[in-house]
Amino acid sequence: MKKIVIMTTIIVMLSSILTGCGGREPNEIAYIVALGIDNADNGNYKITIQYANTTQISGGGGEEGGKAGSKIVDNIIVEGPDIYAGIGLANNIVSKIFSMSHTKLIVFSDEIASAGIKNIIETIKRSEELRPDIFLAVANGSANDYLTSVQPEMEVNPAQYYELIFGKNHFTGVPEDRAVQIFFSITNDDYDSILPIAGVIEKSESQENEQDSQQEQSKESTQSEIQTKAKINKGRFEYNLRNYIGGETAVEKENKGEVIGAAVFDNDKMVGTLGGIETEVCKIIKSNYSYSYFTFYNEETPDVPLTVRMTPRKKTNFNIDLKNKKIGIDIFLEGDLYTVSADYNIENDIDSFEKMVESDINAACEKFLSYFNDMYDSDIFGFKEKCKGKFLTNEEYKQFKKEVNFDEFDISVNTDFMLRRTGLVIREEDE
Amino acid sequence: MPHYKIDNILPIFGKEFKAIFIKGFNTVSLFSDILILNILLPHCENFNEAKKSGWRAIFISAGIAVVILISYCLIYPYPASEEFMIPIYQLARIIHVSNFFSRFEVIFQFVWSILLFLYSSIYVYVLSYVWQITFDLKYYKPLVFPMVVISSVVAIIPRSVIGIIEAENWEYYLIYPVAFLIPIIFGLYHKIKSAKEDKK
Repeated sequence: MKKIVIMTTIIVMLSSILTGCGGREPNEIAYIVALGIDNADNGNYKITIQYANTTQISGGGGEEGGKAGSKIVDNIIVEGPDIYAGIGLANNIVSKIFSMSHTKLIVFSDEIASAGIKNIIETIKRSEELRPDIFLAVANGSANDYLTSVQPEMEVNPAQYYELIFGKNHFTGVPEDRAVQIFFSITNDDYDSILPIAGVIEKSESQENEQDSQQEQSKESTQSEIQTKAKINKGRFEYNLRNYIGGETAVEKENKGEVIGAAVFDNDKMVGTLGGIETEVCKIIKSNYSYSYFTFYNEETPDVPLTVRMTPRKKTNFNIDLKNKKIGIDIFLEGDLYTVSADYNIENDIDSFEKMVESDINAACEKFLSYFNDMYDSDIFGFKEKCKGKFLTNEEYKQFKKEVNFDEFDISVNTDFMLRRTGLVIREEDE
Repeated sequence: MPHYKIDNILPIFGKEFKAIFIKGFNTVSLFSDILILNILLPHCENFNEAKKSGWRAIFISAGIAVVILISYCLIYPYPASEEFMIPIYQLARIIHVSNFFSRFEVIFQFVWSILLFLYSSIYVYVLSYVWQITFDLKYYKPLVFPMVVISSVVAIIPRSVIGIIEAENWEYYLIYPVAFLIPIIFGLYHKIKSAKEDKK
């Protein structure tokens, strides 16, 4: 009996010290959802701290639900030599203590990205608050402009907005790199990364004038003609689509922030950009997407291109022949036909259609690879990494990385495409 | 598993023969816990059961350790993998099944804390028991609290995390002789002595 009493007393006493009365209550913490980093004077950074406005998310004290739009986040801009110095300064300005444990996104301005981001990545690597799967992006212009333009319309939770929009890398318009991939690309130099480009939709002058006159005449707003500097693509692959970069779509909507296209990095420095279509080609070659819709020019119906929902059948196969300096890329795709002219009976000749798609994709990929190798010295496809198996030791591999120049290699692309379904309609072959 | 890449464990011989088999031998000190088995074994009533459960424990823990090590090597490529202080914590941090199933390192931390308490209690017992045997004392229980205090004081001697890593280099000179060489020497001595007595 005495033993039971002593054991019970010890357990109760120990249980009381397990409860965490130390630390902070949730309502004493301001959760940062996104950080924007721009250049400031004196070699400092201008850090935009976007944090969740929890009273608006929860609906405040009333019974109504949370709000969407710009009210769910607040922005504060501070100047500092690095992220944590900026956060420390910001803690003196707002009532709550900032926490980065729920940060989903860090955006760099294009200037910062061009100068190099390895010092900022070092901070992210060492931080126990910032998670390895946060998204990184490059703003088309200023990071502050992008973050202040973001007004989530369909999400009450701002962190969920960033998770959804940047997590759409299973489609092809947005590259997939999270912070952990950038750590490896900078530290190991086995491959180079691409990051999504975030931009602010700009209205052209004619759009503004047209809207003003429309507002005078009628209360109903109509979609104005889209005016954008993105060029329209007249190639056979993704025919008649524009090669947008973030901020160029000129779409009329409340939320002016958008993410399309990719920033190409050579180690930690940004060296160029890829438009939406080029990013799609890049992801087709890497086969790191789940599905997307691709449009092809059709000679039989030049006014109505064909749209196919394409998925990778299996991972792309890279055959790198170091001796003969050749790279063979085998892409395996399958698709469902979604858009075709009503007068065109594709069921007549599926084989020709498949061959046409294969040839169009081959041409688009080879053109992109040739252009990319001429323009950039970046290895975004990880050719160096794929040669690792050819060496036995790290020293040999390191020597190879110093000496190899993939610009001298002949790259050929071979696509194997199969059409699986033609939607809910199937027409009989013409006799 | 979505983060696994076979290329991360290549080239297969990494830092070459000397680094893997000779310098890598230093990490055998991780298995110095085997010395504890020698001290705890006399407490087992049934030696065969102890042997069976011991082998089982070694195989299970070795299997788990191999799986964890392979996972780490498949996810974190060299040389980035060398930089992290607590590799298994980094492994736990990368788990992200969906928005709901993330931040698993909290659960792992809880399990590791329990493991830490188990380890600590066994080591404190072993220290007290060895002290009792060495000085031929009647009881070991009065030694428990002083052992805890001494261990805590020794643990806070290194000034920082970097001091702890530097102290590990000293451990190689202390642990190898005690954990491996002395048991091996005594074992060989006992075998030679028994062989001589058998001959007589």
